[in-house]
Amino acid sequence: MRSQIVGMIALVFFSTFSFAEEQKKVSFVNDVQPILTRAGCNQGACHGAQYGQGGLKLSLRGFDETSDFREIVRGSIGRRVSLLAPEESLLLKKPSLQAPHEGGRRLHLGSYQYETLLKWIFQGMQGPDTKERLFKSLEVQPVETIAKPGQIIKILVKALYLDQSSEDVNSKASFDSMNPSVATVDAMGNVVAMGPGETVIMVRYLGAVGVFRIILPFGESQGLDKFPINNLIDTLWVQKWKKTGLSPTSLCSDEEFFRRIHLNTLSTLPTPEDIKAFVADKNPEKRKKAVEVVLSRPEYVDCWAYKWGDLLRNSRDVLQKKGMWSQHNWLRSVFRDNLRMDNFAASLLTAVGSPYANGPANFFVIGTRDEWTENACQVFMGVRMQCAKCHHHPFENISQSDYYSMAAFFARVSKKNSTEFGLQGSDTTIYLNTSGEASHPRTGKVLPPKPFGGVAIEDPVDRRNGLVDWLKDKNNPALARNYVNRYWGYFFGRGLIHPIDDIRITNPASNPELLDALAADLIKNNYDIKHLLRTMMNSQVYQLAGESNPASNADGENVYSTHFRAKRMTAEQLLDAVDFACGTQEKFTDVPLGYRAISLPDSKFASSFMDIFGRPRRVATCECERSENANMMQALLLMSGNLLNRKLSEKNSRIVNLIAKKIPLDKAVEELFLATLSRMPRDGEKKEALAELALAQTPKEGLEDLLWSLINTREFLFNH
Amino acid sequence: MVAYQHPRISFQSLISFSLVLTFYTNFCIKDSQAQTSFPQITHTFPSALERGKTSVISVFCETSSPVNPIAVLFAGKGIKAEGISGASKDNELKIKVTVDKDASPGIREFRVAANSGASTVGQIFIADLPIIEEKNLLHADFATAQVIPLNCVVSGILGAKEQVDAYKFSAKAGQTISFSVISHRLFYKRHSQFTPIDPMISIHDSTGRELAANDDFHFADPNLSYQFNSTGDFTVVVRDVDFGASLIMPYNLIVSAGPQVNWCFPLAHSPKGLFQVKVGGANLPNSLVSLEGLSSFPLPSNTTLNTQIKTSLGLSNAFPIYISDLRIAEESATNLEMQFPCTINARISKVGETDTYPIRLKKGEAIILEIRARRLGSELDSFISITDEKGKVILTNDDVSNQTKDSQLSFTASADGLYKILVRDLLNRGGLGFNYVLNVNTELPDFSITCDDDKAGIAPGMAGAWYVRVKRTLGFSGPITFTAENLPLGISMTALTLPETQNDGLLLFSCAKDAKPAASLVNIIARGKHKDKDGKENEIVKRVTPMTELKMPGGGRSTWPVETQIIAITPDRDIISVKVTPEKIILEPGKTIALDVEIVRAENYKGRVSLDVRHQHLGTLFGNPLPSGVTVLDTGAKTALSEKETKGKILLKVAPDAKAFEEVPICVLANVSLNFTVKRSYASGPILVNIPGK
Repeated sequence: MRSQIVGMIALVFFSTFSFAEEQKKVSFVNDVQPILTRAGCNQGACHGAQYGQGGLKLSLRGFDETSDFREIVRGSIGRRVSLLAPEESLLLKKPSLQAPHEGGRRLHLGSYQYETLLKWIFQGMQGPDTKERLFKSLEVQPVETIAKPGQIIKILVKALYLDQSSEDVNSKASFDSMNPSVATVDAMGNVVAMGPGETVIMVRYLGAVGVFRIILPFGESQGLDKFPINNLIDTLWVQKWKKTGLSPTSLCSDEEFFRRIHLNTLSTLPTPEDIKAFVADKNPEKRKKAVEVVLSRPEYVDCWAYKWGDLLRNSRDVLQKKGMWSQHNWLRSVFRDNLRMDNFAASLLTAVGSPYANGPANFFVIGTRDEWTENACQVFMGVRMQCAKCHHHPFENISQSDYYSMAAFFARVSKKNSTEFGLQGSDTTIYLNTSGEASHPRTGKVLPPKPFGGVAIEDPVDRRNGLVDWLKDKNNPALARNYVNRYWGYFFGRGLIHPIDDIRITNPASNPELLDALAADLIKNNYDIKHLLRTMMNSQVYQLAGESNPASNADGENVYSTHFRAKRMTAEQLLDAVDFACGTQEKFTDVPLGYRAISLPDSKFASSFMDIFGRPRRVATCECERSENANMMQALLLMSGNLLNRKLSEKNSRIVNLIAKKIPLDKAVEELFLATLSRMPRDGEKKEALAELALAQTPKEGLEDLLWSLINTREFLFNH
Repeated sequence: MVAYQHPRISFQSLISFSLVLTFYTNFCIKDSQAQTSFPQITHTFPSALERGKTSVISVFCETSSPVNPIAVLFAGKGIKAEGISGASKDNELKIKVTVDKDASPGIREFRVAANSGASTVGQIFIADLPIIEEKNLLHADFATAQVIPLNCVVSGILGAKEQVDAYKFSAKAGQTISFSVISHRLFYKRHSQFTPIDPMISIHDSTGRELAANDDFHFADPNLSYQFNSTGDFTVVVRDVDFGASLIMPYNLIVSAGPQVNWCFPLAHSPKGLFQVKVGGANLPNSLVSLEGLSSFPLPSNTTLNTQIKTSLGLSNAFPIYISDLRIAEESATNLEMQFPCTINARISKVGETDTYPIRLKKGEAIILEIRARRLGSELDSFISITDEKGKVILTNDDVSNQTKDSQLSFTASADGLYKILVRDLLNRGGLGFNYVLNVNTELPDFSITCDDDKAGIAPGMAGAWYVRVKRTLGFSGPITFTAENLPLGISMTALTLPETQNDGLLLFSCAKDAKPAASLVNIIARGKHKDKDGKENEIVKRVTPMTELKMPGGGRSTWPVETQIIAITPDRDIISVKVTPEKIILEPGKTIALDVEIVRAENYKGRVSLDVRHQHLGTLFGNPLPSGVTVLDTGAKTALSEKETKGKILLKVAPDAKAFEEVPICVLANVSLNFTVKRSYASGPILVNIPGK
């Protein structure tokens, strides 16, 4: 009523506007909010901060139009807008620097944006109107362009509305380049190609985001026609290299390949005997055969049970020892029996019963509804939902409604105590309540369970079944894309989408066609993860050498897989590798001798060595919890740490055995190279080693020094 | 397995408990070294017996001595034991046990009566397969594994931390072999709730590759059946899931190439005869099979019996069925109105299924609905509801107690109408193993009774006390009278009739001065009467459920239901007499009365003694026979007797509005602490309490 009266007064006093202009009402939602967003007024660093700025608090990037309208029109006793003198409104004067403004100039006098806000005030400051056309989605054209430096490309941004209407919104949308050294963009969506590389231009309008991809080739690709094609990975990388003007390096040696597949698949170094046999094998299919062998090795179970234990935060700290072992043993069974990975997700997301007796039920022991929602999205879709709990996701089309609709799947999961493992067994039961909802925190509206990008699903027995059915749907690639990207990251050192658990529209894959193709292939092959690993390891791309060549130097980060990305062994791999090289066995407290670091059920087994090398504590589902950073402590530990010295001289060590068996020194040198670098010493290396051994006080000391040296090489420390 | 150690020493060393409490516990034990502790059984080794054979086993006790055994008594029929003279050590009693061929298989309770007292409950597994003892050698991998034949029970102990026991066996390609462990199931009733084992098994090929594994099937005990793809030698490995150890908790690993039953349908049967059943598991026929090993019809009703099936591969494992004297009905798919009383055999056969039973009731009509599933080995975690005709839920139940996940519901109709009983799995699961029994009966005024304790070793001339606790349902308000069956010669029980206003009572057993050592498993029977609508008097006869004491980590005391109760005449004691004056008291409302207590100590007992008229631990009352309105005063009383003291005083205060009581027996307990939790109580003679009416 109040706004109606004010509007009438305005109409009387400000009749200078043309009839046509009066006809075109300025919409708060579709006109004002985009301008504020584009001007940066509601960004996190300004008035979109949690407590606002300078007394004005707007919702982050304008996701809450009702609250923003109230704040602008009625906040501060209505002094931000003046109907009697619209030009005097603080809403205009501050951002145009007619009054002091800490945020600097955000509007130019006379600009389209300034005039629109002015008109909105003149028109009586209409608030959000349910009769207004509702925004549906954003369309950005073109999707991708290969450009040359200096080239200008105009992005066309169209808003599509539910009433089937559309509108060009270049003047209202906001544009950001993700890498200005590749391309810049101005406020109207004009992109200027700068230097070689690939980036996306992010377009924001209302709550939606869209992207335009621009590629500036690094140069001319060479020899791609002769690049051997083993499978779809090779085909699709060749296509991408052509677009980006990159060329792959040469193939790796047999020894490198053999070491690589062992470390990637088994977290285990190959034995000297196996290396020699593999190298000596003349079968042209021997690499394929070797892939099959590693996929069937028992260490495969240890390796992947451990990896997924990280992601599922398997730890006695929160699950108690019994729950931790239960989940670990279940993970072992998953990889031992090669369970379909869609069913793996389903088992976790729909788990019920005793976490002691049913390993996957531990998923629900940690946290409550919102944490389960966020973990499910991050682990199985690679999507970080946390932002949307409080506001629109700033870089993805995920709203608060999407968040709580997803949370609704878990709203009925509950826990209670159980004594089935004894009065002091401390067991719990995960079960489903018959009621329980997720409500939008702002509107209070109860939201039906709905996956984002999907439709609302109700399941009479267990809502979570709806989520799992959606995830497992053959036409929904979300789960498969996540698995492919994760495993690509594990095997190639960098995800097609990087970071590997941050899949979003504004963080596109380096090779989207490949990601989609591998996801489709995984679905077609019944989510058989070994099929995916086989495909990856059998590709020529996986078998590229670790060193880049001049043509691929531009791909320094190896975004385009032009060479194999060397990666330091994980803390657990490294400790096991040191043990293997030394011929020793680390004894962990509370498990029998023979338990390797990669077969431990959680990360609470004391080991300062592993902690220093970045072993995760398992308190987050994020891949980032595992530190890959190098530090001085690591170097010191390897060079002068007690652990390595102890192992080098331990009874029954590899060296003690070599001496005891009276192995000739040249053969001993070969074995140490094989046990560490997984290759025979080169002539020069062998000659130098033997010369050093001759100077040693005893052969044992000489061999210990040699082994110490080998362990301290980058070639040992890295999977390359 | 490691060499057995003296349990007193090993037990102390194994307690992973706070230093303070360990110190305190040790202190208590030291402080009262002269006490006479009853045998606190931890385990036997081997922990299984073969039917049709005579074997020698050792019974191990946590503290005190089982030497000079008076009797070893097994629950049920078909097992006899005798002590082997001169073969016992301090904490170990060797006994020779003969198990009849037709003795019921499964887990059996037993008790030992020795000069030092009547034991806590012991348990042993009765098997059909030969029992093999684990060898006292390291056998952790394929190379060192202990070789075992198929079809045997291996009795072993994970005695050392991080211990792994590997057993090597041969299997043929295509052969399915079942592996199961009975260990943690013996823990629930075990007096010492310290150092449990959570066993886990895994199957490995000759290279050590894991082929299959299982941790929890029967609660914490594993069970798996595996079909071998190739002929050769394999190992089955037993470990604690967390590589823990317990010298007092053995395991029985059952390795069977015969039939393995994991579920049975139907579960409920008539006492007059047995029906055929469908079974699920391994090496089983698809057709209906007959149940074995049950005879002497009619079978005892409302009980759970262990049974087996027989195939060309031999006898299966034992599995439970329920005998009901109600009309047996099958689950109806047509939602017909239920005719009750009845016992329904049913199954939640698929995920999300809810079984619906329409039932027509008249206003005021009361029914009792009881699910038996988990207790019969079913996977079902039942949830029962009753709704009105429109589907509005009126009442639900998930678990009837903390001892089972089975449900039970009492319901009284508020109006004439068609109601619906709904049964589902709490977790919305379903399948062949989700079988259940639903008992539907008219609920009448009724009661159930528990009794704490389950053991009494009484010296000649002394008395022992147990405490009963009544739970009355549907307005049962009559008096309840208690009698004892099968008391040893020389033991008598003071008559007890609990009036309608009292639910706790004392069972006091007096031993004649000239009684000879003897022991028997006793039954306490409770009788009550109620009148039906027509004024006809009906008698209710119930066996009291014995509750065994559990010594909890942290110093707590808890209880768990058991089958057996033992009373023994045992000569060893720390207190020779407990005299109280007056022996008959009249409590005037609003007044306080003193009970003067004088104890006579045994010659070598110098320890402390506490006096009480209630059965309590750390403030929790496990039995309080005092009439309502009567409380115990601390101020002015003397209930803690130091080393040289023999006289104490208990003060009872009566509330001004206390109701009238006549001849309610109480007694004074002279408690000697055996450790922080466990006491041995010596009872006075009965003191009859009267509260005159206003």
